[in-house]
Amino acid sequence: MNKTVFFILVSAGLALAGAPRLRAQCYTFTHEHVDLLSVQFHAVSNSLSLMASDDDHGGAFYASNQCVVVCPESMKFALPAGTPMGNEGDPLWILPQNPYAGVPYVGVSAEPIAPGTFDDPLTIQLTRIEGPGHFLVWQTTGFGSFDLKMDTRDGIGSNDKLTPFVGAHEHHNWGFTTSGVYRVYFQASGRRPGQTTNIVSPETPFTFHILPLKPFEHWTATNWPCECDLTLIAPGADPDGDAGVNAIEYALGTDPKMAAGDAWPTVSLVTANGQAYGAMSYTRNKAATDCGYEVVAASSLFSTDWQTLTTVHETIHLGDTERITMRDTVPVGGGVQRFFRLRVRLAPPQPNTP
Amino acid sequence: MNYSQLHGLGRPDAAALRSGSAVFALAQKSKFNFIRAIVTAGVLALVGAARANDLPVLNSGHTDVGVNFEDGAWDLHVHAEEADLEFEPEHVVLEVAGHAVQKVSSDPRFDFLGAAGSPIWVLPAMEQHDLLFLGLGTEELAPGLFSKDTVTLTLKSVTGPGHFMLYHLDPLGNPVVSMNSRDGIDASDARSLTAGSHTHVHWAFSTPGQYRIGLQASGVLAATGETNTSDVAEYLFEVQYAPALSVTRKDTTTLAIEWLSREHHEYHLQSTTDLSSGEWVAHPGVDPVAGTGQFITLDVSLENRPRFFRLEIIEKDSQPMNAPIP
Repeated sequence: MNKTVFFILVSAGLALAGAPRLRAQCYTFTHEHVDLLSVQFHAVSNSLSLMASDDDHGGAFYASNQCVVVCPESMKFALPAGTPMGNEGDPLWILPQNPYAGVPYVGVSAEPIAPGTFDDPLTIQLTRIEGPGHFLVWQTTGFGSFDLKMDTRDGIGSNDKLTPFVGAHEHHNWGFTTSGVYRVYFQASGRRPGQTTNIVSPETPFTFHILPLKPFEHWTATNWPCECDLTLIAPGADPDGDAGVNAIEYALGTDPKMAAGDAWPTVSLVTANGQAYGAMSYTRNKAATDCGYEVVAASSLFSTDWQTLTTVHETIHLGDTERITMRDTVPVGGGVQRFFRLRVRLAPPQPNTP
Repeated sequence: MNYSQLHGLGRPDAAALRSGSAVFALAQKSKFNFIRAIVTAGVLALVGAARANDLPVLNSGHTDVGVNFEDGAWDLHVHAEEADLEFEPEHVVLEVAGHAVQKVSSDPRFDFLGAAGSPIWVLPAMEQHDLLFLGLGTEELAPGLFSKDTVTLTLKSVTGPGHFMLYHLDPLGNPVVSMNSRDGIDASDARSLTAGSHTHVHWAFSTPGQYRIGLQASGVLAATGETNTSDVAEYLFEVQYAPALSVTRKDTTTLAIEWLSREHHEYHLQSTTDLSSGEWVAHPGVDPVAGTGQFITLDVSLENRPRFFRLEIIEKDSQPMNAPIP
């Protein structure tokens, strides 16, 4: 199993001052009727865009990075035999084409576009997906048949699209093969009557939280509920510029949006069995149950043979965190140099069901 | 959206169109026996052409059976979304076009629609440009008015030549039947609706003709905890007949010619070898077929090609009508 490993060097104590980013307004759809992909035409700039329209609240519009759609765990289904969405028994989380109490009712709309403004139909193309599983969109029609519109299991191609009529709206089932945070990118296009080229919207990401979230996803979603920019929210990003990437901030329980160095691991001398040893202390986020911690030591910073320390010298409980001190195996003295570092391993998302 | 108009006889005091800029009184209805006008027109043309004894007909576009409760009174209506027009239920005809006919699936989950292979007319929950896209809308219902923001729409009566069924499909393709007159009408023939929302459903009819579907809304008022029930509103549907004629190649030597027959009609398969100058003759070996109201399939041998077919339809005490086979 591949694991992403993040290092923090104890010597990297100098924190760069980084301005905390303001959290944008973020609306969480938990049960509303929302036309998530609402195609907008801007006549002045002759351009298209995709926004979310909250039908339950007078059609309030949200930019894609101002809203999140939550699919509760209760909408996890086991597929019956004979569907094109997977094998019998496979799990699938579904945001349904019909309203269910306590579940977002997600629609697609070209209602804001006046008939005659564009040729029928418009196209909403799936362009990209970030998430732990696959994404499917379908309708059940007729006598229980399935009209599969989007399916990332065979890659993403030009056939992964919706084609709403101008002025109309429609509902689909939105399926996710595993829980987690998904960012799904769509692009709307249409052709004005008499024109020879399409007007194409920007590629627009929409965020889905398919419950339950894994601990790191939950932490990310708490800190950046709507953000889609991976240069801010990826495990390896360091948006506050304090040399602690998000995975480290998560592991140590620090604020990823506030530069701070005082919570980083420290090195000290401890005494055990009458001898002095080097030791590294770090703070552990107790909620980071999907995170592995490893203090390693070597005699040279350029060593290729870092030794994992296994002796817990001390654990101090501090509420949501705990302070752990790991003791070296080599006593100090004799002119030996020792270097310590903390490795943090973030468990990868669960692999997709084969 | 297209309107055509329906002529009829009935109450002279009814105003059909409740919103929009036009104020005009029309829309009388007959208890039954609507007579369809030939006119098909856009909204403005409809308004311009409005005259007494006409009922507007909705036959395409997104339309909702609307449920509202305001100032202590229920308001059941028809809302044509794209034109943003509202109609009293009894003052507009909801058209189920002839090409909405399908054959009931042999999948036992769809037994509630009738016997496998029998005709069923369905206005579907997914928009098709050539059919009315009829939903259930509660957008105007204020949140908090009813307990759990839920109201119930109950089927009270079906007057017409056949059965009426209202259902939807769940995400895994299973039908969820809300109303079905085939097994009688009782309190279980109901669909709950969330305030401030809308939903799309399948409206199914077993037989062509004109229907009055009586619907009643009810809900528990949050303020008093008491159930409040509307009068029964009758919605008018016209389910049209079309021959639904098709020709498919069954194997290398056989064609299957299929159509939806009508009772009291007789069907004669004719053929010719020359479309431009040939004479149509009764196709050898095929006897006239009496209509049953069901789909009829004739297997025809492909010998002596080329050969063209047509179906002569003879109505009792009526002139023959010829429907060419494509």
